[in-house]
Amino acid sequence: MALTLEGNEGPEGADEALAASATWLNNRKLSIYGGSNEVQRSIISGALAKG
Amino acid sequence: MDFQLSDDHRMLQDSLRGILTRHSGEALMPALAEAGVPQALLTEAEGGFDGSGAAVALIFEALGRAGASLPLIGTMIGVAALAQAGQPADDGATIAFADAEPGTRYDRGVAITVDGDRVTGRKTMVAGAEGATAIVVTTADALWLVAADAAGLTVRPYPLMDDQRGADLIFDGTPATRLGRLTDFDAVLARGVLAHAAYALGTLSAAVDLTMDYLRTRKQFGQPLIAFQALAHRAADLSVEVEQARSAVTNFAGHLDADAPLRDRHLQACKVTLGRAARLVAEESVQLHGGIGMTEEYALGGMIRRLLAADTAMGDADYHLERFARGEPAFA
Repeated sequence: MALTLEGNEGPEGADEALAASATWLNNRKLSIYGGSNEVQRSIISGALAKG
Repeated sequence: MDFQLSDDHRMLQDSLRGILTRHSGEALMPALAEAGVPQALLTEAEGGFDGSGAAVALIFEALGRAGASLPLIGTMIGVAALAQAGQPADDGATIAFADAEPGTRYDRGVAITVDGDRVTGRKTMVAGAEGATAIVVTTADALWLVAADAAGLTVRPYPLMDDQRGADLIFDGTPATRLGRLTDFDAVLARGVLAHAAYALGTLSAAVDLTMDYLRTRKQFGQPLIAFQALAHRAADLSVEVEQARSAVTNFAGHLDADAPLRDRHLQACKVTLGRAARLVAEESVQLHGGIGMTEEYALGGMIRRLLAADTAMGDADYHLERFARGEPAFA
C-alpha cells in the first residue's frame, strides 16, 4: 500500500489520525505542568519512606 | 458498587488472620476446615454459606499474604461444579481440578480426547491430585468427573513451583461422567480465576511490603536504600501497581455474579492486570533486594515462585488479553 504524504495531509483514508497525533503531541505538556513523572514518584516514595 | 466489607466478611477476615498467624504447614488445613473457610467459598445451594466474590477474594488474598499453599481452589471448583450438576460431593471430599494440558499453552481439549464416556490423554500440573477423592477434568467443551481410583488413570506426582504437590494425569480410556458443557459452569470457573487473582494479590502485597521494609532498613553509604532516588522511584512504581492490582480484584469480585459477557470482561481485565503486576513485582523486588533476593532461605524466593505460578493458573496475562481483544468469552 503506497502512502502519499504531503504537508499536513494524513495517511489516505485515516483522517482521524491527523487529529489524534496533534492531540497526543499537545498532551505531552500535561505531565510537565502536573509535575513530571519523576516529581510524582519522589512524592510517593517520600510517603513510603516514612512507612 | 460497595467497597466496604460486610460485618460477616470482617469477622471472617479477622478469624482467618488469627488462624494464619497461629497455624502453618500440616496443621493449617484442619484449622481452616474447623473455622468453616471451605464452606465460605460455596453458596448455600452448593452446601456452603457464602460463595460471594467478596468472600472468595478476601479468603484467597489472606492465604496469599500468609504464603499458604493449599489445594483449596480445586476443591472449591469441584464441589461447586458437582452440586450444580446435581451430584453433590460427600462432606469433606477433596477434589482436584485438572485443567492445564502439556504442550498446548492454555487451550483445552488438545492433549485430551473423549470417546463416548471415556477420556484419553494427559493433564498436567494438577494440584492436590494425590490425596483427592475425585478429579474434575476439562475437555474442549465439557466438564467431566473421574474417580481417583478409576481404571486406566495413572497419577505421576511431583512438587509444584508454588510449594504444593501436583501431578501429571495420564488417562487411557478412563471411564468418566459428563457433568455438562464448559459454558454451563462458567460461573464456577470464574470463581476459580478470582481465587487465583486474589491469591496473587495477597502474595504481591506481601512481597512489596517485604521489599519496602528492606529499603527502609538496609543502609549503604550511611543512608537507607530508600533515600537513593533510583531505588525510591522504582519502589514508587511498585506501590502504584499494588493499588492497581487491588482495584482489579475488587472490580472483578464485584462483578462475579454479573451477566456472563460483562463478568468475562472484568475476569480477563483482572487476570491480565494481576499477571503483569505479579511478574513486575517478582522481577523488581529481586532487583531492589540485590543478592539476598535470590536466596532460597529468604522469604522472597517462595513469594516469587507463587506469583509466577498464579499468573499461569487458568490462563496467563497474554492468553486473557488476546481473548479480551477479540471479545471472546473467558471459557469455551
